[in-house]
Amino acid sequence: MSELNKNIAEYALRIGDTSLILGQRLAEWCGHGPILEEDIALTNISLDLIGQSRAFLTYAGEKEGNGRSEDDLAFFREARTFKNRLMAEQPNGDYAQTMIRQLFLSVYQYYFYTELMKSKDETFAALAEKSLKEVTYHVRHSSEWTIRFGDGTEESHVRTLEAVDTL
Amino acid sequence: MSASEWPLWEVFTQRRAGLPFEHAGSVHAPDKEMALQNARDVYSRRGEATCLWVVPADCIVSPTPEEAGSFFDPSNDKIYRHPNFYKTPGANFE
Amino acid sequence: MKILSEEELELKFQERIDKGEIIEPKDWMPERYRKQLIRMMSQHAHSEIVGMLPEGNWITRAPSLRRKAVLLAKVQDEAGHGLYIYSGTETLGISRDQVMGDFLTGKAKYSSIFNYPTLTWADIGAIGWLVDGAAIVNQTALAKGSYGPYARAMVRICKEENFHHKQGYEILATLMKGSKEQREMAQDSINRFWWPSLMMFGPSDNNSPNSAELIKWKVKKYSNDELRQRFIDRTIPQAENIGLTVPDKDLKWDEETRHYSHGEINWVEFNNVINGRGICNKERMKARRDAHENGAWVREAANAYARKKASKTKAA
Ligand SMILES: [Fe+2]
Ligand SMILES: [Fe+2]
Repeated sequence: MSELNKNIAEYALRIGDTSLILGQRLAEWCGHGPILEEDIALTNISLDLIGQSRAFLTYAGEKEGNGRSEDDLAFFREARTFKNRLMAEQPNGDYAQTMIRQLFLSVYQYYFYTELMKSKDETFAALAEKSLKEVTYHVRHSSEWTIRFGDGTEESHVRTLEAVDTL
Repeated sequence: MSASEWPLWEVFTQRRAGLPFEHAGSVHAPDKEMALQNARDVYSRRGEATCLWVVPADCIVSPTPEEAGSFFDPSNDKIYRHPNFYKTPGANFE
Repeated sequence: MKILSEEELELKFQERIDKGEIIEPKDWMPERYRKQLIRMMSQHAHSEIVGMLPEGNWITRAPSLRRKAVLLAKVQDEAGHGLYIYSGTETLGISRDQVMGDFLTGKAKYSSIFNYPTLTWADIGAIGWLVDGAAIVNQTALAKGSYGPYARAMVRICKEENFHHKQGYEILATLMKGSKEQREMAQDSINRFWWPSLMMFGPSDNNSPNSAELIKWKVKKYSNDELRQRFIDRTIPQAENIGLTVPDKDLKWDEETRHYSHGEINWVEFNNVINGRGICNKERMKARRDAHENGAWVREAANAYARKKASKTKAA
């Protein structure tokens, strides 16, 4: 495998892993959300992220050239070899912690994909463009909640500060 | 309403630009921004919408069933408003 | 206008029903019709929500990313179903919080099927194929019912339900093409879920206290046994198609009636599970109560913010 392909594979894996782990974390909420509407909303975000991770992992497998599929990469690697942003794997905690984690990562992904769209690698550019639309909505969703928590009740305010401290 | 209960909103979706908005269902939401987001998340998961309206349920006004007769029956006998009421021998109106 | 007596109103109401007219929220309806609908619809909605739990149990452990996305979308749909039906119930003048309250305090029931555990991945297949399959038979009939908002919710739900059914069957079909262990796992899951699925249609006709009234009002169009039969007739060939056997030694095709006849359902078990003595009743109720209680501060915060903002715009 060429040095370039190896680097692309490695880079795609990093992006895919962050989406995968965050999507998996959010999926833990399914059926346990604070209200039905929010259960559905959070699952939408999770589905977007899992979709992103499938695309990036598939690309990583292609570039790696060893015939590994998205599932080989997602299911048959040691935990230590995952390359996700550590923020993504932080536990869900309460809903404030989940939302603040989401806000941080979504804003990160927003700027990240905005730049990745300019990549000379066409696959990266195309995946970034699609993901950016999804992430733009995730930013909106998590910031609306952050505003409500920060300026809602005394309790929500305290919980949000704690979440920010933790993360 | 309890402190944790959210008001009800009615959701209307437009399937494609150019088509009329149709009632899709309802959601609960604390305010209009959240109502819009919830409507999006609940009623456009399968590409069913290109636009959305949300309306507070208690802002919708409609006649009572008792009023229905006086509201709607009077228009039933105005058959001259329909084009097939007219005789237009031989002429092509297509 | 002449003021009609209660009996005259009820007579007129029944006439409308018999003519096949659809009842809308503001129309006059007998108190009993409203009560029965609230009972039936809220039970149905609770079932959708509790139904998220046994399958939700496998989302984080689904064996491929494709299956994970499918299952997540499927369980999410069930939340949507609950939401649509709760909205329908609200048109009868009872809030979601009220019906949810009745559920969380244990006053209202939900479908007994969701009190069985999901032990293996094959159970996710069995639920999609059998439980959603039974739900489709039920809900297709309910979509022609007399109460507008309930029927409309059913139409929407039925559109979503077909993929649930197929993804479940696909899981089992895949397992049945796999190793010996995989085939055994699929068969074991059918052994456990077959009878509970038949119980989903409710008690036998000669023992169903609400049926006659609901059929008279065309809330239900068919009896429990009729629907159960329909489900069996369309499911058995699907089972045979992939080499699964249902655990009923009395099951056989009856040339005369052109239906499958089946063995006796264990109604003692049915009543036990309905009355809270199933394997997972406690666990399911606790999960729903926790979600509701832990979410209270979230819902309150959003309301508090909305109030603050409204008073600010008023002051400005
Ligand atoms: Fe459902
Ligand atoms: Fe379903």
